[in-house]
Amino acid sequence: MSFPYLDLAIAMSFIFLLLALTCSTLNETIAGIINSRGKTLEKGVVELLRDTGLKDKVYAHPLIQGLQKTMTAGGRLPSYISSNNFALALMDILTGPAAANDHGALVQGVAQLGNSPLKTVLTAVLQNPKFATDQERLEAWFEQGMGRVSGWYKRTSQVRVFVLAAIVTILMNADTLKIARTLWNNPTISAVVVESAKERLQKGRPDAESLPMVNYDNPDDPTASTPTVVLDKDKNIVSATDKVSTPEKDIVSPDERKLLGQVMGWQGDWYDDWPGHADHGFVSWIFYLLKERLGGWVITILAISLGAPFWFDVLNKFMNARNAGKPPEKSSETPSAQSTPPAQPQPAQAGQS
Amino acid sequence: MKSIKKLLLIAPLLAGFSLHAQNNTVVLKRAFVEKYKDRATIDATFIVDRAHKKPNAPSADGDMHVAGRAQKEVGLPMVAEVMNAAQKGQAAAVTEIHAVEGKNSAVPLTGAWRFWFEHPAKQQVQFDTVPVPGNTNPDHSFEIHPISKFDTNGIAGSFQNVPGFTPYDAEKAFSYYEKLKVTVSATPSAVTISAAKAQYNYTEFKMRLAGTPKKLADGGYAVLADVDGAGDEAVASNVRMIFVPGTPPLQQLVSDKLGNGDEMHVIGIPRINLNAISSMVAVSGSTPVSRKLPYEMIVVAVLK
Repeated sequence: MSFPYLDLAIAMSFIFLLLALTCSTLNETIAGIINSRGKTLEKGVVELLRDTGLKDKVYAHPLIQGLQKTMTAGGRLPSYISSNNFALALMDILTGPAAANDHGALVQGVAQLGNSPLKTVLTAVLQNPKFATDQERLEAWFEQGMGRVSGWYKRTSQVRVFVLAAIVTILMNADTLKIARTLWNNPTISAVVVESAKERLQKGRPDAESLPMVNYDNPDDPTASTPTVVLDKDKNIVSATDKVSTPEKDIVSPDERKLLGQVMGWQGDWYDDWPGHADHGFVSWIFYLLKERLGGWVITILAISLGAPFWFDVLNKFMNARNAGKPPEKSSETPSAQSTPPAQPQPAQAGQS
Repeated sequence: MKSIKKLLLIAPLLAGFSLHAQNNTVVLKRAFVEKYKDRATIDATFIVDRAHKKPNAPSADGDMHVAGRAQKEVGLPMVAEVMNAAQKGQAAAVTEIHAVEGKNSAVPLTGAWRFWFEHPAKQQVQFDTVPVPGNTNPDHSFEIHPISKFDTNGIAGSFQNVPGFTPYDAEKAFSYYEKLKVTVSATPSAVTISAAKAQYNYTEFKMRLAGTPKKLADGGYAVLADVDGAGDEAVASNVRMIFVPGTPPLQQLVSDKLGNGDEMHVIGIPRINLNAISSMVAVSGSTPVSRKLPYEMIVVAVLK
């Protein structure tokens, strides 16, 4: 049976998924190279302490330095500081030779900060009646600050993905409208893309969100759950089970790259291929490109920015619609995860509380 | 015609934007999570602010909604619900609910706690002052549902099939539950849980116990089970099932000495599994972790 519109929707969702995966891989690589998380954390600590000198002291404290890879030798900034370590390090610095948990010495240390904004902030923080100890008060203050840092990091990452989406789109000349026309006018390519999309769905969702949060390893103890997440020594989430980091899900395979080459690219759009190149100059070609391609590029950039997991879900829904009436496809995880999700559920009409 | 064709070409994009779900956030006290993660029920002193004049029709689920406040024990906008509320066994409780409605007097209440993003607000923080609800169904993520005891009226017997009501089928509902996502993070004193709006109460399913039931601190039981749909196809595995003290489902579980491999045909209500959330944040701390939403089922009726 032929479903031309549905096949087109499937093919477009699949192409957006592959492009989003490409950008996601690039983003992670860049974030790792420039240590984006560590730099954002450092910026957050400076913002919190409002004193770069004190920040340097905190970062130089053995409790924090232990997290750094030989920073003095050009090592990397830590990408995570626990509230416990931060509070203890700050207390130790402010109390000087006295014990870190000496309240009097801590208050005196804060008083010696001069007329800095930090003195005002810490004086208020150390009077917070919600907590029993100075350490808890400082931990809560730090955690609150780190909430803002997470927000910054997320926004920075989103901006980076958007920029990468623009670069990838233009480099690959991924004009949504042109791609759609190619697929619509060439059922053979469209059919190949749909088949590849089916294979991609078999690999599972391209992130860890579809994995369980915990496992219950002992069937006789339903209160003993084991977290499926493992953090590295910098407290970055690495993986939990082998299933988490299956690379196949997160990378574009060579066959898929070839497929992308068949539906997008600069063939026919290069300056030399442009019919007007003999009579008009390079600038006219740029204007021609913008007129012909800009709309499609913008759609592609916006689509990529939605992310690979999103397009996986959309692709799954279209594939389910195409397979309507057929049993759900199986994957390699839990029986429940094996079923492809149903079409968007109807609002509950009964049984709603 | 050309513009229609263009619209069709970008249909996936448009569909994609429309399916982009919004998340809602609840900040729970970590002590609360630790206290209730392995309990079936919660005891609360509950102020009844607004109640349904009469229970829902059996075809709509037969519940009676009661909106109110339990500032001390729950500290969140909430509702409590009586199951099979039109039946005789629940008459005294329903009468008393109406007697105290709007009187601002706190009444002892026990029932299955239920944390589920069915009618969520954008953000709610536990133990902030809970406003007086303006209707019987305010924005809430927390319920006591079903109630097993209201004041001195024990209504654990209401945990049974609702005649005339058709629950959701297992394949549809569990496929949906399994697809839900959650993001959690924690501080030393709080746990932040974010998820999209969720639905599908009252699901009928067959479960095959995967271990020995374990008694919980409040007298309830928990057991892991695999779930089958109507056609005996597996739809979920290792789901924690919760049995509420004094209810017919728990009585059957205990009296029949059910264990590994035994089957039950039941109706259940989903709730977030705080045991899983607790284990996760113990490891991940303030690092936000996004995973499949961990859920468990409150067994509210046994079917023949």
